Amino acid sequence: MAIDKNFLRRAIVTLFIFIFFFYSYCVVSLECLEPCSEDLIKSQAAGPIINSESNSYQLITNSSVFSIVNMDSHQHQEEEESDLDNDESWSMDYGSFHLSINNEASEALSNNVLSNYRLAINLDRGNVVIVTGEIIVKFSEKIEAEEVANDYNIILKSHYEYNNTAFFIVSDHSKIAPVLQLMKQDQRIHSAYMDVIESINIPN
Amino acid sequence: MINKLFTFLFIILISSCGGGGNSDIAPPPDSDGDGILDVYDLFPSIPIGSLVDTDRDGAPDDCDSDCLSTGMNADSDDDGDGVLDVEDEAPLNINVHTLPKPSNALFVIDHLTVAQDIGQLSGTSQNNRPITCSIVDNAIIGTINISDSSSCQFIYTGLENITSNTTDSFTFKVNDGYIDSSEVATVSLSIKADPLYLHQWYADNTGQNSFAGQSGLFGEDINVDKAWAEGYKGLGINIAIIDSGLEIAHEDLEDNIAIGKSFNFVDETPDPTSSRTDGDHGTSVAGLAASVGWNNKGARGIAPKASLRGFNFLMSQAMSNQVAALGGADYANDVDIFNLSYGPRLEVDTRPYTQVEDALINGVNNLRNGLGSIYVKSAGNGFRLENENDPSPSCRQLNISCRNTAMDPHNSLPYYIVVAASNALGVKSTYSTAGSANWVTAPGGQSGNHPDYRPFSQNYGPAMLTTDQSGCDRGYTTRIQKNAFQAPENSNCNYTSTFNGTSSSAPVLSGAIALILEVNSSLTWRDVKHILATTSVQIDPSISDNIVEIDGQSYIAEPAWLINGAGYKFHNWYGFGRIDAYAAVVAAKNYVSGSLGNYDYTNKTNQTMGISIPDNSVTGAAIDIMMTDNLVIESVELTVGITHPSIGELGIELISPSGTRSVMFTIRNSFYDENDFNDFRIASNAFYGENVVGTWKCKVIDSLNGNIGTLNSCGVKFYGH
Repeated sequence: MAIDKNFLRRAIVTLFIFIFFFYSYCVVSLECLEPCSEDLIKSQAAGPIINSESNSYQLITNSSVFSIVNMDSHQHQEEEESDLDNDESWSMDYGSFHLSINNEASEALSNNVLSNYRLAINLDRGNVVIVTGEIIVKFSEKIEAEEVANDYNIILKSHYEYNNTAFFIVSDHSKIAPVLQLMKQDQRIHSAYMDVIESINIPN
Repeated sequence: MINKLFTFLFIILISSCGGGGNSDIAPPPDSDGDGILDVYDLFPSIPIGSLVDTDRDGAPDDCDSDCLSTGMNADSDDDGDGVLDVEDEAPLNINVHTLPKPSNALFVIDHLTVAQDIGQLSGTSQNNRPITCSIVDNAIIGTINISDSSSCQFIYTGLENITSNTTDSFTFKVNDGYIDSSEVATVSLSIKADPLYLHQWYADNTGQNSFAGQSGLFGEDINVDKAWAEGYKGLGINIAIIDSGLEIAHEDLEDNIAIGKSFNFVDETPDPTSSRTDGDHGTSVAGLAASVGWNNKGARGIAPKASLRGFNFLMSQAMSNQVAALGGADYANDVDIFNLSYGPRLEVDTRPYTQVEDALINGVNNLRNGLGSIYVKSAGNGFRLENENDPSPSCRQLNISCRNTAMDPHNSLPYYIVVAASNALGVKSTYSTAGSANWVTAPGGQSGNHPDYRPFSQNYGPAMLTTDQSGCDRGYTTRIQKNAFQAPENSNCNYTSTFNGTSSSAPVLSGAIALILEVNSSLTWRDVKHILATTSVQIDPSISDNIVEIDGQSYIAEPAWLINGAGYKFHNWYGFGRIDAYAAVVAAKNYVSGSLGNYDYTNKTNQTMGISIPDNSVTGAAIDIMMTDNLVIESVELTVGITHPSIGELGIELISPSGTRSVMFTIRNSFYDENDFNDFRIASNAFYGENVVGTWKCKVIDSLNGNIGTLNSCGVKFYGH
């Protein structure tokens, strides 16, 4: 049987285009990623429950967040699963972050690790968020924010007079919940909540 | 002297009467043919036609110079000006004894193809008389014109864009009112250029393709070269790029970098240079705003002399860092313009973060000595990002913006200037997110692809040419397959021709605003918005209503350009139109700061009703809100509460007392999978300049069959004066 080379060539090109678009579709579709990861991630959320400005979250204590240094292996899409390192049970690239859950609690040693950042689950919506390890405090009176930092043994990062609000760093995530609990009873403090990156900002 | 004149007349008389006799005799010679026989002619070889002897040297005026040239000095001071001929540079001009002289000069010119004042030519003259100048031999690369002969101010107009620094020259002479200089002077021109400028269609669209597969359209640019020609290049204006990073040592950025003013939130140093190797978004954004101009390197920012600094907020994203970058930190509190080429991936029913709102309020109230800093925000690239679960025809198929600028709740705040993107054909970039929160449009380009290198691209329109990470082993050039932008133009791989997005339109606008603030540093943040609203240009004017059938009835899902009750043209795709940098600069020159009056706002007026939204019907559910505040609108914030299983089916409208209909949330948007809005805040700029007083109608349309919901509440808050 004679083979029509032109037909064969067209067929190959068509097949290639189909594979290309199918692959592209799957990679960029968030729905391809989330269901398979959701149960695993939720199962890791065993830390304390903490409140932010408007939601409640449960920490994933054995999680790490890295600032992505090199995206050579990545395309333009906003998020995708990434290859696992040996000690990671789950990882994902999300915007400019590499998110990971480790097999066991371990200290992430890397130049680009955001050492205070952890993952958490939004208990109202079920989505993964990033907890920065910072507490946002609005004072009810004019106050020396450094005093508050000393009182709670936390680090003052910045204090703005225009809204009488300060940002504190809590290096030990296990202390965030108790510190927040105490702050809510502190008369000098109007409100206090954990800083959470709920929706990542991406270049657009 | 009188005796000489009588003798002269006598000779003429004799000669005219002479003869009458024999015609065979040859007439006596008259060599110069002036009718005076040589024998009687004092100057037999020079025709004399006048008897006036102004300088009283015995020779008629029209003989003076010729007589002198033959060495027939009449006396030692021919012009009788008191200066001996031997010392007199103009011995026959009684008014001049020292000739004017033009002076050689050197001028440095930032090359432009539009006319620009360069400077004054100069020269010397007797008793410092005023001189006028005139060109003798013109330049070659450009044309020199004397714009004002009395001041010798001259204009240079480049004939075409050039790709490297070069030199040129022209000559000129001067006149002191009596006489031209005998000498000409040479003016040397050191002409500065940017090698890649001719590919920057967004600054000067000549129809070039900028290495892409398709060309642009002549004139579809922001008209910035005339502003540069008037000398406005952003000098003294501080622009902050809040982004992924900033390569502060880039060859085409470093001279504009404010030393020590950048900040890296990851390692807490003043160097936000990204350690990525596959492209740094912030470095490319910065180049569009303020890469150095006329330095014989790369391209040119819209504000090529503005100061740049970078805050790599996107690499950390802690709220404290965002607040610091927005003007809270010491390194940010002297920033005039903050460029935010980013937005949330997708927000669902959230409100602006209190800390961000507070930071912005602080910025507009306290920074720039109380005039308010300018916050430029990209609209987003979501026009075609449909929700795959949305039943066909989708927003993409209907040509309705799938995402909306309102999906970033911070865009409901009036402190941002939200900017959409246009392309080199002068219409919306295919990706540019639409929404009533858009203020203006600036070029953002298309893919920049070329079919020879990328045969499967959907669009071959030009992208933006800008700075890339330095070196061929870094930057976008490493991950973008070979394209048409290679050596020799990009042999060092320090530039990219495929950057695009509203990420690009934002820094173009930031650069333009830097020019505006340079022109008039007393402008408030509201003045700047007003100038942009009043000077931006309507593009794509023939775009029609986008009509969608809902249960057999026509519904205008996305209106054409509207003219609101105050006469402003507005479109959700473009806001008030594409910026015109020169028009804005001209408007800024004479603008009286604060002329809008005091900023004010109404309390939020909320109506809670609980009205069923008719399913799949153009009828919709509506709530009327009566307003009595006498306020001229600068921005409107709508807050809606809706219970519905699929927000993506809904369209949300606000109709003003004067009948202006703003579609603030288009039907078939990408919230198809989301349910309920709880006090969702959306801004509209479509009512700019109208008055608040009257009845406002908040209306919600359900565009698909099956899901039923309720409009629970509508609230409006007006900002204005």
